[in-house]
Amino acid sequence: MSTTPTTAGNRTRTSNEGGSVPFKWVAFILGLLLPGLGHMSIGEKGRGYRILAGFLVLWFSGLLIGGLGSVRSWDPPYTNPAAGGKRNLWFIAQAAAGPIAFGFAALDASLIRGAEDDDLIEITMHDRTIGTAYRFTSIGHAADFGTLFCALAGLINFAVALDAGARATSDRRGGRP
Amino acid sequence: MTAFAWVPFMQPLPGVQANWLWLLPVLIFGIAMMYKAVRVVDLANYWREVGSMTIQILLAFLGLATGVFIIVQWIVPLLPAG
Repeated sequence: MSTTPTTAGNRTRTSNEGGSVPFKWVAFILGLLLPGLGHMSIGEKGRGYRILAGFLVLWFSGLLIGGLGSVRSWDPPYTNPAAGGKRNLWFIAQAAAGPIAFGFAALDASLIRGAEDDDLIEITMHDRTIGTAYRFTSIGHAADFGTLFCALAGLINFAVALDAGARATSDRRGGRP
Repeated sequence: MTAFAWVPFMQPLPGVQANWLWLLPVLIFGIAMMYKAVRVVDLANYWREVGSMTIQILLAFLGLATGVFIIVQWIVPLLPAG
């Protein structure tokens, strides 16, 4: 009987199994700055464009469903009892989309701050006083899905940026023969 | 406010409250686009893989919904009360 060496002892670790390829921080950060840019920077332009396309589908679908309020870094005071509002935790996930998320959050904030009287409606606040809310603030499923779409776009982009950092140039994922 | 007065991106999409389930395929399609862009071996198969993943997840949802429907509508009523 031949003495074939065990595969466990002689296994060549590919770059995706860790250890052999140093993590590319530049690609990771570029991927956070703009979805797909990390892959483009390591020569995977086809993947990068497809990542960007997928991101844009999720992101702008969310904005289409819930309006600009889908990307909101701070909740307005009328959404919670704490005066002055509180941090919107969904924005943590959305922030992984990079400057795009912060730009849209700033746009939303400026829209609410600069709202004319005609764009405000009277509402009953948590302390039973009369307050105002932006007329086109999304509620219910529109708010839920708009926020969810953008949050998932951000979360997946974070994972994709990690992949850009860990991927060897001209590497291919999949595992299927 | 009617749908004709809707200003995209500035105002929420009308009719979502009653038709939110139709957003699920769009959500899954977007997720599949990003996921397969990273995972697919040959980019020539990209769109086929995206379509395949979208349909697989939708079918899984359909199966889960059917299972829950059977449990709630048929099996639970058979359980003895009290």
